Amino acid sequence: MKTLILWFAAILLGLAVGIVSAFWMAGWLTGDMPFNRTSVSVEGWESNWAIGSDAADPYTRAYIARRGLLAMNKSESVYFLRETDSSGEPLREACDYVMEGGDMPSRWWSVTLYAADDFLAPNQDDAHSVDASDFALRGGWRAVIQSAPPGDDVFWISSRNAGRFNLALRLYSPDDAVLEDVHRAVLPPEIRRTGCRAEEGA
Amino acid sequence: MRILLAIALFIAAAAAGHWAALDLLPQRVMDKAMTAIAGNAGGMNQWRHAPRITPDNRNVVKPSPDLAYSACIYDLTRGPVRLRVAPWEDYSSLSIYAANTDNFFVINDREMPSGGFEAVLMAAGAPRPETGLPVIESPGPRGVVLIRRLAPDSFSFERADRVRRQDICNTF
Repeated sequence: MKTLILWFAAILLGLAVGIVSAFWMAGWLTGDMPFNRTSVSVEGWESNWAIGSDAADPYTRAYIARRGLLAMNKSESVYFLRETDSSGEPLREACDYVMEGGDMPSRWWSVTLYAADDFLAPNQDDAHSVDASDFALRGGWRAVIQSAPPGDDVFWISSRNAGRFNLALRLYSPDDAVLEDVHRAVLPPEIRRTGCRAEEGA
Repeated sequence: MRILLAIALFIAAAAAGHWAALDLLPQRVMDKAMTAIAGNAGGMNQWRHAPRITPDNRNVVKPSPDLAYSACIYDLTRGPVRLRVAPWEDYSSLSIYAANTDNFFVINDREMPSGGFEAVLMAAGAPRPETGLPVIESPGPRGVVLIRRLAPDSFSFERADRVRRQDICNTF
């Protein structure tokens, strides 16, 4: 009887370890895959070249299911994600940021703010993103990320009710150079923190 | 001996649990999204023209508020599916996803004919219908067809909403 209990416990423990390790390695517990061979990092913006590809490994498929379901493969769209500002601090609603960038090597691009659950922040500000059409013919561009509306003529992404948030940079129809040498081709926007307020409950 | 067998059972169960979880996670997430989209569309092989993306849209993570999405859950067990993408004034694309999340087909507006894109979506290896249309083979019987149209403001979204009523996703 003791032997049967031992074997049963070994099976249960093994299943638990296997399942939890799968969630961990697929980035479902921490938000990031700990061993990611297809990741690309450019100035703090992270991407994964295996997104949408039939060559994606099971870990990448599970990760994408959690954080970017129905993303297109890299020939049509490249996605970058970041959760920290340019100094490495987590992006959060209690802080204000300035985002500055230049032309992107793609037909169209956008930067969108998502709450920690990877959906749009629950506010009605209608200011969830900025995109190439906002800055047509301007070359370098600038926008603020903050919870309160800025003054006129300032491009704004609202972080109201976002808590800790992340930013997604989409490059649609990327130039060939992006896939050939991403570090040379892409200069993604910089996210500079300009100030923070005390958070409720802190 | 019984300890060794317990260790072997532990390792086998851990490996089985690990790979089963990895296999099931994307399929479960995809199934949930497909069920929600098909429910909103009124069934399979029908378009769901999503309203302008707001924080209330929670079917699929990371939706872009700058795009007009149209999604069709296809079911090839009822036969091949005819697809049509009406032409749009700006960026648009048609992408097709297998049930395991793979994006196995994509085409954008610059690669489409000026009058729009038509094709037949069918199961790999099935007899080809004589339609003269290009054929797209799906690796499985079910999946998602998704059209994205760039429409970053309410005016362009209204125009896109009118245009996408001419899209087709149905069985012959």
